Amino acid sequence: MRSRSKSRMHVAVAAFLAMLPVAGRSQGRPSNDKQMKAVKVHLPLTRGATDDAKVALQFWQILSKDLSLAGPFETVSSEVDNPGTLEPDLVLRTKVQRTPLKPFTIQVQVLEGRTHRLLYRKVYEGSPVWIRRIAHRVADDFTERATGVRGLAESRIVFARETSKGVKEIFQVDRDGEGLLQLTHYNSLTLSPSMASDGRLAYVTYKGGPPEIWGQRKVGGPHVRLYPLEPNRSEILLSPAWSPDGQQIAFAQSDKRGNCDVMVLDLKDQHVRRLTSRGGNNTEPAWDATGTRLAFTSDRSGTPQIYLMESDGSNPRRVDTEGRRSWNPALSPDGNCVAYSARIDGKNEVLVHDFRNSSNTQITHGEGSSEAPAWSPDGHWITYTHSISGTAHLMVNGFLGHMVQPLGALAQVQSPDWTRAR
Amino acid sequence: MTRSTTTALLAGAILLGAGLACKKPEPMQAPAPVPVKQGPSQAELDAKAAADRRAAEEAKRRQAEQETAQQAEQARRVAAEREAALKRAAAKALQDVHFDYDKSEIRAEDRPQLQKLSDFLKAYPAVKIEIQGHCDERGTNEYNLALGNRRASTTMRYLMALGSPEQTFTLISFGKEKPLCTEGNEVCWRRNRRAHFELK
Repeated sequence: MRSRSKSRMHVAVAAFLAMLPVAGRSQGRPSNDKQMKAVKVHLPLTRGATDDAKVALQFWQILSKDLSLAGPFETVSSEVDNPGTLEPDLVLRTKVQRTPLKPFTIQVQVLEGRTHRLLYRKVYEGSPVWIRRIAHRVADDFTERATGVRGLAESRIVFARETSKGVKEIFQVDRDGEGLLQLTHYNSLTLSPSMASDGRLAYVTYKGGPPEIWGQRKVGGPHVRLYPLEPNRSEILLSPAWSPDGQQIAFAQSDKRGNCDVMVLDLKDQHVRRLTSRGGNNTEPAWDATGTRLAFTSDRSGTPQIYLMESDGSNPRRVDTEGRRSWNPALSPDGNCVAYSARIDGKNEVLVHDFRNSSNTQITHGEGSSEAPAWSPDGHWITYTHSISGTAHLMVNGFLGHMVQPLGALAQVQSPDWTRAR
Repeated sequence: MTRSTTTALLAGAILLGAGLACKKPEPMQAPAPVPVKQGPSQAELDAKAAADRRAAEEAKRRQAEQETAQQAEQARRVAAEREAALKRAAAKALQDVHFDYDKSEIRAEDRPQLQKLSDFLKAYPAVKIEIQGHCDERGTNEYNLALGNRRASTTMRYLMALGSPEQTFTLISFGKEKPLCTEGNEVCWRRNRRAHFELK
């Protein structure tokens, strides 16, 4: 897929951003949502020649869904150019064309809603098999121009999913819940996926007996044993997490004495260092975006609680989660917050702790148990699993609980991780 | 018996008969000439002896084979019986033990059960067992894998204190990945918080 847009952009970007009410949302802590006015976007369907009509319709449907999921937009998709009473802020026109000797092209025009003044124009081209990816890219380019923050339509969510009794494998879906792809085929228990910023996967698999950490040393490379270096170790290896620079993997090592400690493997020299040695369970390591701090779960106080430490293991300190049993820490991309799950009223709920004011905000409510939060790469959303009667689905929760969407209809899922890397 | 000896015996019998009969002796008649046969050659004798030896050896071998097969069959039967006995004993001894919520200590009520398991391990010292730690659904997937390992570990250390060597055991944790039931109530949670034993 290529874009030949640079020369074709006729955009007054500054003016474009200035007219939009959502520009300047802060990460993790959105401004008061009641004051946040959705941008009304009209997406007219332009039907081309007969042979393009099917592709055009498919493209328009994917793009409409992407923008409706994006959050700041109120979309109206219609087959007429005049949206009636909508009075849109923006009109997003797309035209799918197939030309001889070429892949198909998609012309995108963004117009000011009232005056129909052209704000920008861009042409995308590619093969029809990439229709979903191109629609996602159009959506993300549009979102970036409208809000200043790149959209998430091109991102993906990896997770573990039960395929048959006792067998779990790693899968991914696109942000819109479509495009399911199975990434491991071990016919074994395979858990805890972590995605490096360059798209390399790491996970735990029981395929050789005791759980080991497997994954990719190279981008697009084969899946190999990452740790232990030699098989048949007596330790159990758990919960891998890529460092932001992709050079290290934090993980938990559980030994025959019953202790579990957070370790870090340096992939360059295979050196392993120990970050905790307090006895008890120290597990679920999670890096911050700078690689200088890690959050983890420890029961050193008697019950599982969230802690923070420096990346050399120094200065471990407890995060105040109001004393509840707490697990699954995930640091927000801006480092201001940690999402986690906690036991509240006989269920697990997802909460966000803000370090700046030590507040804990519960973002899940109602029936069922929620856990395993993971931040979206832009820090505006959290995905997690929500289970009722033992059946777990993926959910996406935006703006600290004010917008909740199911992510597809997949059942028996766990441990999601969210990445832009493709 | 060879032909020449037969001839000689026949001749003797005739003479004897003639002597014993109280009859007037009749004029002696020359006995019919006995055809003189030539004896077997040395080579034939040797070949025969070798064949005899081979036959004897073959018979011996067959008998030995039969005995070996019988012994093997016997050993198999004994081993199968021993195996069956081990399985019966294991089925009795390898019963799950259970844990309190978020705990990995051996409960007083499970001690007699672990004593039985220890007795079994002492009766079958060659046996290796895998101890699997499991949890209920309330902790998170990753945390529970560590908790399950600690449950397996405390169970192993209890059995070591009762006299079994560490090399008898391998530990694995399945956290909440392999629940026996999925209802969200204490009855089900209690079933899932367990150490499970498998013969290796």
